Amino acid sequence: MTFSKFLASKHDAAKTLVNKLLQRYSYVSLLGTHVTGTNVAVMTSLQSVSDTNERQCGFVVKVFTGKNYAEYSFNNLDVNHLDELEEEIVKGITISEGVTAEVVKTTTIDDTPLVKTFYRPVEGKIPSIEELMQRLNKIKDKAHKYDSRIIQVRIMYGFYEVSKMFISQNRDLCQNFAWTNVYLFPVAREGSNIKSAYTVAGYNNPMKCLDEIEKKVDSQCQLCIDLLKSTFIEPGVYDIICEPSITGLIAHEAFGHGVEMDMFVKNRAMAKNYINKYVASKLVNMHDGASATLSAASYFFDDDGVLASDTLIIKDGILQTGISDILSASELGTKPTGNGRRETYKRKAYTRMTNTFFSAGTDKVEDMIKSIKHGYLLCDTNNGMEDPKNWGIQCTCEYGREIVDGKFTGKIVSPVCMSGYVPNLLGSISMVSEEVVVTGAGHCGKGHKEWVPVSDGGPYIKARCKLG
Amino acid sequence: MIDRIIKCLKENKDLTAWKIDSKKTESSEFFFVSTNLETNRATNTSDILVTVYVDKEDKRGSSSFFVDPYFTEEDISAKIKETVFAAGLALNAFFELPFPSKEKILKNESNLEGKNFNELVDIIAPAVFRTLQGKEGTINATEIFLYKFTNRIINSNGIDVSFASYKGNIEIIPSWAKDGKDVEVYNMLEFSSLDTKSITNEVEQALQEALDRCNAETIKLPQVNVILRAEDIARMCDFFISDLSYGSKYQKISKFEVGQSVQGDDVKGDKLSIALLPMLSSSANSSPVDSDGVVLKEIELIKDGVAQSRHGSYRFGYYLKEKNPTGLISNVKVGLGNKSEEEIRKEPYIECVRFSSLQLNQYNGFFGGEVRLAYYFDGEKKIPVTGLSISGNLEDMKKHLVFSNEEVKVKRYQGPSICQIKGIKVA
Repeated sequence: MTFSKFLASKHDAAKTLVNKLLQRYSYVSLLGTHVTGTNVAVMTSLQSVSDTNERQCGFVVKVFTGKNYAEYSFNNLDVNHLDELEEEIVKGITISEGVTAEVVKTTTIDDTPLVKTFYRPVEGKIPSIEELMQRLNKIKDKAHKYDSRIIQVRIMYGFYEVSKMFISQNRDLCQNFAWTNVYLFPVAREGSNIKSAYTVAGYNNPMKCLDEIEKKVDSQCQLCIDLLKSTFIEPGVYDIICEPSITGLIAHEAFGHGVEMDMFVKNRAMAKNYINKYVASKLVNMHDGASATLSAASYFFDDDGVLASDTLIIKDGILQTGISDILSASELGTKPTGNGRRETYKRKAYTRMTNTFFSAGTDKVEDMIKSIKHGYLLCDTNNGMEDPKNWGIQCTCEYGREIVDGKFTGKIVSPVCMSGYVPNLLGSISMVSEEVVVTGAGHCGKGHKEWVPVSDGGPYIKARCKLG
Repeated sequence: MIDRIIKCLKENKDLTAWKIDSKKTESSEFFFVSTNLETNRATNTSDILVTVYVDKEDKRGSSSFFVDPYFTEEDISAKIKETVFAAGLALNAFFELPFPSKEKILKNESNLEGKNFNELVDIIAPAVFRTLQGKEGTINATEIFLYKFTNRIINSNGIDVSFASYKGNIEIIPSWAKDGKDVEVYNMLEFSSLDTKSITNEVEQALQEALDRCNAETIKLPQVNVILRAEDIARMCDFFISDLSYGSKYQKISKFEVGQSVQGDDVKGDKLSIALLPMLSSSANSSPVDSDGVVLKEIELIKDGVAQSRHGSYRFGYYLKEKNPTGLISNVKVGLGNKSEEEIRKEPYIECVRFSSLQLNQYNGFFGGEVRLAYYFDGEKKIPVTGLSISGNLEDMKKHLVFSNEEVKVKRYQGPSICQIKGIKVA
């Protein structure tokens, strides 16, 4: 694993292009991205090998035109055709004066000098395609042997290696790192009753991912079988215990999107009015940052060339600050936090979460369960949707286990939708467990687009919420 | 580049078939905060995906790779060799690739053809912002995307089809503040031909919905009929469409059989009819061919509640021994009902207007989500409501669907303007 030879070969041409454009524009930066990798999927009746879904290879130039910021995305950077490329860029980003008559007020982007190369080696061995096919087929066979009602099994391995190069007048940064996700989806069928389960392992260590998934085969197949007997929940307000993936879902969807500070610029976030105010119970502390922990969204610098950080968003229930990309920070007059991320080099950078999680507390999980008179342990993220302006919650859990008088009854409900008002939910958190688990294998959109890898998590939490 | 790739593919004697899927994307993009421009962007990029097929005994393996822009002929040959090896390890039941069709390939008509996208913003932005005149509401953010895609699909059986397609998206976030409340509504407009009047109308409606959400009450709602609108009807119909795919049958997760009722016996509401349309004027997902190069035609999937056929990719169609696999089609046409909107709206109802994200589980039929704006009619008056969620199972609800007899076209959907559902839980 090494920094992309392609990007390295384009470094000097990129520097020359930036300098040429600096003759026209007061700020110019160039981001080169090269992501390679492999996806291997084994299903009950199919198998496949392909390039990673994360694959991308290209460049984006950002300039300040004197009125507004403009960008141009392209594939190739040929040192022998830089004049033509410069002309193409200028033509591509030139728009009529009518549109630029009123622009967003901004300050100059910080371009403090920094020249640095970052590298994070993969831990352990990277398996060959042959080894992967054997291992994934073994996992599939194990799942089918568990119970004849398991009619479909899908195991997906995804490894990708990221190289990025950021060049501006004063900055020259390179980074190289990798990540692996392995997913297991068993499907059980009894007549026309079909239920599925899933689990995921995401680490900077391919073999650790495979080992963890193999260990979970039996429990996931049993969950799938148990779900065949699941019912819908009777809608109502309940005491709940959230396992770490649901805690992470709440941190990310219910609250995290609302502290993305490009939403502050657009007057789209209620959180803007709550800085230094209580937004959660005093037991709640929340972080976001590419350097906050090692997970799927850990990098060294963001797509604006800003170094990664660890932002303490909520401290003892009080909202401290949001997170930002460089453009939003320059518009708000704040310091960027290293959260400027692009889906690919073809898309705009927005403020995006990275690794988002609640901090640990002091409670024991068994004590939390014992404290429930009638409620549910909510497990496994299905999906979530943000509502930063109005702090509405939509978080769907794959299933919930009923608790009555501090004990599991054996009843499972599936799926379970949480809804309500974010501060009410966060304010109701009354117990927080000791251990934090951050899971890094998902992707997050902004609105309904701009998908980037993220992780989230936290401890078990006890709260009260409307379920349906 | 394509010629070089074909040359390299033909030189490799270990592969038995191949496919090239090439897409060039040109775009202009504009990002506004309120009515002020923040950023403008342009893109000019190409992606070429090559799939190689390797036959061993009675099996066929496939693997694919993207051709990076810097690839030399040597790079391409080396990547083909590597991918052929991988394909040999990923063997599946044999399947054929499609052959050239004598069917005429339809053209994606669009008035965006030949236009300078950077100039179109001069008429699109005013079409959005003119709605604000005389209103207390605002639009906090607007993103305008205009795309031209140039597609070419080639395979070793002789398919070589090229076509262009156009797409516009406008993300608008109208907002309304009143009496201490400050709310927004998320909207993503989509079109393949530009109609500024239609954009203005849609933004007007979105602003009205922001006002209604601002006025919306959070009240305990009774269990009454739920009404869904066009886009959500399309989402609901995905349950039936997905189940009737070749892939669903091949993977043994299909519940419905061709020739049988998908709604069961004793249907109390309307009998469902669904067709798949390759071309639909409101859809930016219209395409004359699919990604395998299969020339697409309208498919009647369900007629009066009875499954008529399956649909899907050429490969899964081949596995099911279909004579002419349909290919993959995105647009949905749903049959009209017998009642007018007015008749349906006579009984008390909750009409869901804006979901945060309507969820559908393809396996078990779970259907529901948080509703950010709905209208509740108690039999006498209609009020906007918020803070509710709906949930249910389509397996239970499918006998009780009542469709309006007014037709609309919205994005990938053509069909009844509303659908009444009984038995869905409101919380």
